[in-house]
Amino acid sequence: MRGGFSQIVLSAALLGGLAVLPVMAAAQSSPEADPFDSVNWEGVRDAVFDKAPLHFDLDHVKVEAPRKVEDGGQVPVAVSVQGLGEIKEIILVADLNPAPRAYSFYPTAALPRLATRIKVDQATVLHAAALTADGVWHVGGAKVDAPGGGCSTPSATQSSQSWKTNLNAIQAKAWRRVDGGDRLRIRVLHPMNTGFVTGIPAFFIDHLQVKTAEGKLVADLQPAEPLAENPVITLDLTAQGSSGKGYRLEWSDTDGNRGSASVPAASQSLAAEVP
Amino acid sequence: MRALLLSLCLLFFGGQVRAEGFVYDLHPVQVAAGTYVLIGDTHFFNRDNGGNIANTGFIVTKTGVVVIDSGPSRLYGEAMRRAIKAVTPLPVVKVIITHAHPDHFLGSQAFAGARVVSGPGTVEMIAKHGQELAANLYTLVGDAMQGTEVVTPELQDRSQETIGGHELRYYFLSGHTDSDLVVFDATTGVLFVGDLVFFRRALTVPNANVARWQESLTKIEAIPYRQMVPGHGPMPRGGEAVVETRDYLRWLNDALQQAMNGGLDLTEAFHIKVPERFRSLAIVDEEFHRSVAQMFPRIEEKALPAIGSTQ
Repeated sequence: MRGGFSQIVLSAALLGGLAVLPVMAAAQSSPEADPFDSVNWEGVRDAVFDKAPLHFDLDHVKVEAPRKVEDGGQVPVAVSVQGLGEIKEIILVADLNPAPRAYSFYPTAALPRLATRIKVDQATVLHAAALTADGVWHVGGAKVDAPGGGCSTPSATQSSQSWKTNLNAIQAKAWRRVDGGDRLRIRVLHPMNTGFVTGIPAFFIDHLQVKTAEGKLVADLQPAEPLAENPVITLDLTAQGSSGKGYRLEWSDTDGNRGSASVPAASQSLAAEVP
Repeated sequence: MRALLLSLCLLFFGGQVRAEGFVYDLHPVQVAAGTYVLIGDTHFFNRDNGGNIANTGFIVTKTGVVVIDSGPSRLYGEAMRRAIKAVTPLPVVKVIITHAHPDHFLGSQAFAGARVVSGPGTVEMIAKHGQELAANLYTLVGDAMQGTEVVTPELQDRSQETIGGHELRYYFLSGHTDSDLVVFDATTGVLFVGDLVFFRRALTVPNANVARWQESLTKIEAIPYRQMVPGHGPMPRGGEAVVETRDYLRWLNDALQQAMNGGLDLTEAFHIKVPERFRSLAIVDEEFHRSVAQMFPRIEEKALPAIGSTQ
């Protein structure tokens, strides 16, 4: 069916490229209004997604974050995409952060969902965008109300300096889901400095890869400034992407520090429901 | 039209006059001879309650008044001082701060001349972080905080003393914070437990240590009190507030540990169901949500296995 559609588009393009172009141009000239009424959406959209086709799809792209946040330095955010087929990439942005993009996640052999904690600098709309194989971004979002300064106050590890000895110390565990895939939960000790605090340069983990023990890449995360200090990441691998022999994590930060560690194979089942 | 403008002006200026000073409506409730409690609102901090969410109290002795906790702001402390004056002409000689949370110690400024004291951890916490705690409360309650300045307490170094015929015993406990001072008036049998005990209101846990909190509750139960004054909520008749606090704390901690061990994420732990028996606690959904955000990361840090790091 998909092949059929592509063929029709291709033939149409070959037969009369001029006829197709105006349709695309029209789509770009009248972008959809943000259902969350973010004051900075247009700026973020242009900066992060450039001219890529993009439409709001709140039914399939869900962002879960607490409405009221007490600690702007640790805002829990879960993004999940359902019913859109294969997802190439997921981007999370906090519209009013000085650097809005929190991460780019390439699910590879993971389910298109990721939970972590981010910094927000003030009350803002969070937008998550999922890229489907046809090159279209599907966007959802949520509003969070937070006190100021999540990105512009020093991290606790920065003040204690304890990261100098423990930098990149990593904690992780795998759980087996009923569908045969594994859940991974990962925590890395890192100050994740944004560079927006005077005198403290940007210093954050910008790449984390999950490989099976056999060496196959199964998930790829590229964090940016807003990811919270000592980030905790929860992701779910597909059954095909999961390994009975465990995993290897490889990461690097903006200063060129690198590390890797092995996660033992899942020995416990993921809780079927919340207590 | 002119009449309309005039009434609009009156409305405007009328509002301003009222907005000049937040008014705390404090009513001392007598719980024993010479002993009074000012019961706070059971909601979270907001502009309507001006941060008045904790219970404070005072003991009128023969030689002066002992205040237990000074409330959230200078204006609260001043309102408390007026409420005390309506009961006795004696001066306030001592202000005891139970712990370093902003709803309990930011009114001390109104009691110039009295000795303000607390436990060692509280003295340190207020000296180091008092300004941040006050600034944070400004953003939550606004105007009511006008002119509030942090007073760092001195150390309460004795565990027992007699003031104006009242024998006061001090218990230096912890668990709700690193330093929770419990004050027992052995003369009247009134026990001021601070926030180690809540009643009919969900707990707050931003600095909690669950194991130490449970130990402190056991110690509190061994004190031969006649009337307990919890940090939040109405006055209990007997020991039911301790039982409620202990059970809620155990459930909260167990549920979050279970979620962690089962591999759940923090955002999934938000969906844990509060059991029926705790549904009647004031603002339980709101506080449970805050508790998950505060406690789950600490549980993760301990429970996620270290897998080492090679660089």
